[in-house]
Amino acid sequence: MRLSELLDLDVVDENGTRAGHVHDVRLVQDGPVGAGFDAALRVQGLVIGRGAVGIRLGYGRTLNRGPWLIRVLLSARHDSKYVPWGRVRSIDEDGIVIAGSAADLEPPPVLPARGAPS
Amino acid sequence: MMAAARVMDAALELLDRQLIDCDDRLAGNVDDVEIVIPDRWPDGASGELPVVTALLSGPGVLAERFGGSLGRGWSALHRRLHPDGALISIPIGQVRDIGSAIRLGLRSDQLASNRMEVWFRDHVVGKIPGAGHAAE
Repeated sequence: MRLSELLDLDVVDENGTRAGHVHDVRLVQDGPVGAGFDAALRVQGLVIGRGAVGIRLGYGRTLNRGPWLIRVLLSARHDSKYVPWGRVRSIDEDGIVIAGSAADLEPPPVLPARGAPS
Repeated sequence: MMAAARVMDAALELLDRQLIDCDDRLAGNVDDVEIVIPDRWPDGASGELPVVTALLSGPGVLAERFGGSLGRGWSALHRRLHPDGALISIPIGQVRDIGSAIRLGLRSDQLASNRMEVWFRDHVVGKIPGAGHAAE
């Protein structure tokens, strides 16, 4: 499967309630670093939502720096949610079905901004 | 010592990123990412996560990603020009660093994405008188 096949797919819960569409696929690299990425990058979950512009630009997903006005405007317009991979039940070209209710979904964990001190 | 896990969003941090080979040469862009889902998912693969196995690059890959009539037309044209598919798949094990660009552990001339440049160099630029001394 390709990443592009997942992006923009509709996501519904087991009751058929629409939860949004896939904005991004969250990866975790918990394998060895420095000698390549063998078997190290794994899919942890899906970032979904209805808003698009701010999310696509990364606003709301990282600890943003930069002009406060841009941050406020773009961050306030999205309603992104996070679907842990364990809740994904099926994927086909019509969309993704997740276990449980869409109302239970939490916002995605905020990522540290690239280059920020950890 | 085990490093802390790094979390990233694939579309935001991988797609369209510049690829740089081990000699610091530009080597194309990331046009898509290959993900392998466990065979027995979802019923028998409890706890197993899908794995990113390769970065994909090349005009054919980009065309398929675009979709729509433009993407389909572009993809059809690409398949006609490259019946073998000309898919450039870079195993994730060849990735050395993911940052503002993605650094690889191989040379760009080992990638099929570089074929057109190599062909152009050999068949066009190389035929121009004096081309062999371009750097002098």
